Amino acid sequence: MTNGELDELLVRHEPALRRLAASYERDPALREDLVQEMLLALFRALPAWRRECSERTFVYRVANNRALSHLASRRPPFDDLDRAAGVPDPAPLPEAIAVAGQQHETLLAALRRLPVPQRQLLTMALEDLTPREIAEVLGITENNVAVRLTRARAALRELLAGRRPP
Amino acid sequence: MTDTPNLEWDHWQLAWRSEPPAVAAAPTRTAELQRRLRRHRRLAWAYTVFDVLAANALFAIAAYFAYRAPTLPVLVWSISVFVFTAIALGGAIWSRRDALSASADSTADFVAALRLRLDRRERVPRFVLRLAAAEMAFGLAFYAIWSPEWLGRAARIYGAIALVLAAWWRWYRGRLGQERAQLDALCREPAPPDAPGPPGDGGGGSGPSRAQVDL
Repeated sequence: MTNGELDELLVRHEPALRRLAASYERDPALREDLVQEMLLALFRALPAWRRECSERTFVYRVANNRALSHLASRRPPFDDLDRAAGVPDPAPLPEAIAVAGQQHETLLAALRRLPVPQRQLLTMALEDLTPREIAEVLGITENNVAVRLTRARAALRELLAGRRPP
Repeated sequence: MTDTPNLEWDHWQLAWRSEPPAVAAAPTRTAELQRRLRRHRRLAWAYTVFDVLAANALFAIAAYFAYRAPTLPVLVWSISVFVFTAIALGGAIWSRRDALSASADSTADFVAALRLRLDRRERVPRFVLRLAAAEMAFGLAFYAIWSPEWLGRAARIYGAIALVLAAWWRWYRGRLGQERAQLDALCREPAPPDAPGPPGDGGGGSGPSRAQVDL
């Protein structure tokens, strides 16, 4: 792959990677760090890509793995483990964000309150990855994707409707 | 499938793509990534060179003593230092070998690899600690047989080293346990809504109303 092709690939996927990073990191500086880590990981992994899966599958595998490493390397104290497990963090309350009319931030805030596996599923589905691609990224079956996605959507719906407890 | 979920989904997708968060001033380009990768590689090489130099220093010390007093116990001690250092050096380089690679495995495989790596991070120092214990036992036997007058002092020094190593091992295992717990927490798949929850949880995940969000 030439540098020009690499540039094109990065340009093609960078916006999606930025959205993905935003679902993992609330802090803008840490989010930018994560984006850079994802891009660097992608750049390092690309020479080994043998096109055995689609480009999007490959990109999302590398990016999600990098994001997981990023979260795991933050070494939060034990008190933060529940937060990592999906119990909501003290982000700006959804109602406050909604009042400001920031739908994108509202959705992001709700996504960040979901457990990581559900978050991964939803972000990839929102990026229009097919169930097969999502299954390949996560290493699960397509049926499993469908079942988990239904649950994740229900969880997101509850969060956005305010029916889910903190 | 009814239209409602699709409309809802379309709404979410629209919101998802509506505002790219914190767009960088300039998109990252290959040249910049290459520069950063070179910097990472240089750093990795620097660590490796440092390891090799430290190992060579230990080799030189062992060789010096073996050359100066080539008696059986000193030769055995020198060889044990050689072997111990070579194993430690090999372990250090081996554990750093994939520091620069980026995983393109599926998430399930990646998480399994992370768990395996955590296990290895526990196994390798345990092995080194056992070697150190063997080295101490050998040292004590060495002094007991050939230099009994030094045995007491050697026992105190080895005892102090053993205490420090034990404290470090306790701290290190605690940290690994913390990382394991964090990984478990990150990868925990939530129970289905109809699964029974813990006592007092209310079961299905529905609870007191929070804020209504209009998305």
